[in-house]
Amino acid sequence: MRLRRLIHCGLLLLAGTGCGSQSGPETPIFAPSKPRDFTGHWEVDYSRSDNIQTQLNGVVRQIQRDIAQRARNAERGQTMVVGGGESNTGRDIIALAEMAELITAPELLEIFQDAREVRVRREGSFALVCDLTPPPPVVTNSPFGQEICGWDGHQLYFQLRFPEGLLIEHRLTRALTSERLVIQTAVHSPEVSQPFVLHKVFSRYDPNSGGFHCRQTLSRGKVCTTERETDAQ
Amino acid sequence: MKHVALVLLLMCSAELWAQVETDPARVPEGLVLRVLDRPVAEALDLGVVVFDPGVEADDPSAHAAVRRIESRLLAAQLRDTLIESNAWGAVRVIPAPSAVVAVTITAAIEYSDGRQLQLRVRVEDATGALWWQDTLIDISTTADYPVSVNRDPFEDLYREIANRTLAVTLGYDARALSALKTVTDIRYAQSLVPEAFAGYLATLDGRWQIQRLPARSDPMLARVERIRQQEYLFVDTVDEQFVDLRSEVKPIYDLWRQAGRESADYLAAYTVRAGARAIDEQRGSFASMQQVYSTYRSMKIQEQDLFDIALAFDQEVTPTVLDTGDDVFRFTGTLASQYETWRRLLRQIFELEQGRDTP
Repeated sequence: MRLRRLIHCGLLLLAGTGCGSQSGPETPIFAPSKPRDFTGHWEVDYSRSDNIQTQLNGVVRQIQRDIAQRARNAERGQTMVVGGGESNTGRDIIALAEMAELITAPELLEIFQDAREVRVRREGSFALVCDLTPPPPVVTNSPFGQEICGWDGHQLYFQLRFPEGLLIEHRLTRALTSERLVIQTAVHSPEVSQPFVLHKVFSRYDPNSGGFHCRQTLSRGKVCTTERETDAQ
Repeated sequence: MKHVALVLLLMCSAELWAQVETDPARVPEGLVLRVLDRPVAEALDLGVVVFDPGVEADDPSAHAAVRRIESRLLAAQLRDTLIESNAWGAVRVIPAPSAVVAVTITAAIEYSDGRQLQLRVRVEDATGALWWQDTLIDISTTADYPVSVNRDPFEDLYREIANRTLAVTLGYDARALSALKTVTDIRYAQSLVPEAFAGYLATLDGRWQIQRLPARSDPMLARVERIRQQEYLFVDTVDEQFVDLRSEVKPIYDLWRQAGRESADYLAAYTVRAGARAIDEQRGSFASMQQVYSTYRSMKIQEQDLFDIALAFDQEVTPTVLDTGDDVFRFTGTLASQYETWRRLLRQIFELEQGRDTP
């Protein structure tokens, strides 16, 4: 994985620190919904999106600050608050960053939205689907994970909880005056006290502007044509 | 499936039969389909009613759409197994119970995923006699996937239905089979013109029995037969839709069932590993997080692919176009309501014809 080559050696210094302050977010409280229209095709804008190496360095610095603070507190005789058992090892932080990279890999989005549902199709991954009929939070359980979603003010919020403590939050935001969409993804691990947070910025695009468009078919896989969609209908 | 070879069996080879258990832990493996060298003497027409999906007809959810698709796919699969047994006359999937067939199989989907199929099955004939009813469960194995062309992970269950139904037929002698066909004909005629065919049948202990027979030269019988052929025309037209549906949906449906089976296997293995505390040692590692995430992603992708196609093919939007030679009819709405509309139309046509013929 690309991230492997970028790892800062200083991470190893964090090995064995063994304490932290938090492990995953609280159950979300949803603000009154002010839905925004996300409908359309979106492509990632790397120039405006977070760099994973930068974020990784930021997480490491934050954990180092936490550790130093606790050490100072301990020297002053203050009680050290032990967290949920996070180890904060370099290995665990790298693992978290790798997961964040994997989860945020989709470069293209296609969003369908009406009063009943928002469906965020992500290229190469599963769609994030939120039923808007009941008030948030909408909880969907399966043996393999739990999804929570709903409008949180003007943001669309998804939370995915998996076995072994992996927790993913996606927060979709779109400014009223801008044709950009931001997805903030926070990945939590029970072994790391800080979530790994990445912001990906998407710009609206026209899938037909390249002179061709593709669609997935059952019999022939991905089929691309220069025929305009309106012509084909 | 399950080490079963298709074996040509004669009617007397009853010792090869197996019973389907209702306890999942004791479900037998490898049921053999009984295949006759020719249909039974008085070959009975058999109707497999589109399965009860167990969801509301107006439920717009993708899950409900999948169940409704399954209700047709599984019925068509059972139809194929019954045809393969070579024991019957015409075997058709019918949208709703009808007096048009001598033997009717109805089934409700109680549970269905890639690992397990559970059906509540009921088989009865036109006299009203209940042949058998039971809840049947089949558990797939990993060897059932990937699903080969013209195979099904739950073939055993269909074979059990075919075998049990055939067993009842084999208990009927030629005279009883002939009587059953006659009752079927009269009951169908009664469904069109109750007053004209009243008195031919009477119920005894809840079963229709013949009291007298209409004259073979009765012109009304010929008209009834014509109408019956028109009803078959609708059923066969709908059957062509099933063929199209299956060719489009079955591949993705099989992949979805395979993903369900693999997910169930993964979950079981995960539970074992977690019980042995092996998971805790890797907790937080990229490998362990990637495994849970990838499993979830794989399951969701297959599910969403199926949901997309199920919603697209949901019967609510499939019109039926019927060309009778003289006219073209177009029906919309649910399959059951289309069928009911056509049958009502046939009754009206019959009444009109009768009015012209009867001064």
